[in-house]
Amino acid sequence: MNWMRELARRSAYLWRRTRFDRELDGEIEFHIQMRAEELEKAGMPRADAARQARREFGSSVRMRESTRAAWQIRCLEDLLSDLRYGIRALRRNPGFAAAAIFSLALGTQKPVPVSRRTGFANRAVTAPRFSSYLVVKPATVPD
Amino acid sequence: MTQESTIPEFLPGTLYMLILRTLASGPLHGYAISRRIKQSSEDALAIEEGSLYPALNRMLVKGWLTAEWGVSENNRKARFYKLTEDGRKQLERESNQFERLVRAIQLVMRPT
Repeated sequence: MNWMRELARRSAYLWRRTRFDRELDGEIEFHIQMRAEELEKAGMPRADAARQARREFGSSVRMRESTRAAWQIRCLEDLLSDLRYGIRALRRNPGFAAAAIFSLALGTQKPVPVSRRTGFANRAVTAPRFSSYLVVKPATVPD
Repeated sequence: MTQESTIPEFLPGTLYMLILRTLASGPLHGYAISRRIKQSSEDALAIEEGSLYPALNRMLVKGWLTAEWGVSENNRKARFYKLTEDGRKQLERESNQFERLVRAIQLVMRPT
């Protein structure tokens, strides 16, 4: 069950990404300072030591990226950002959102037996579907 | 100056083993881990920071290590990595495999 524990750890990461980034920054800063101190002890002037330590560390952007990648569940994070994007788009355009939700509500309902006598859904069988109140019965054409 | 090898170049996968071995004697922060490996290899092995931290985090995901904030020897806040029971088992597995590999290579390279 190792993979399950791994998945749990990865999911926990999803909820503390901001903290994770902050902590990683702190860790990088600590690493560079330690190296600078070491160079200074070896006789390098302070400013040069700080510069050299930073240069030795290399691209922290790329390193941050691959450190984060260790935790990421790519498809889940993509799904989350898609959902966020979708919600933002619907909020910007509430009229469109209402129309879309309304027509999906009409279209995706389960068919329900409709009482022949009243033309409404048979409540005894199941709750009436919303669209049964709205859909006009086709006229019967005599032969 | 001695010739330095950066670890991922020289044998892929050994970085985990070296980190596990270094942490076997107690928790250390990232900087101390790379120091320790450099010293005990008599300056022959250098870990690039760009591969140390991603590796440490992959090991956290795997559950071989845990990380905790503490205070460093010079009174700074630092993140200390500690071996877990799973990590200890992994170290044993990897060092056995590694020994077998080295012995096999030596056998092939033996002068005839």
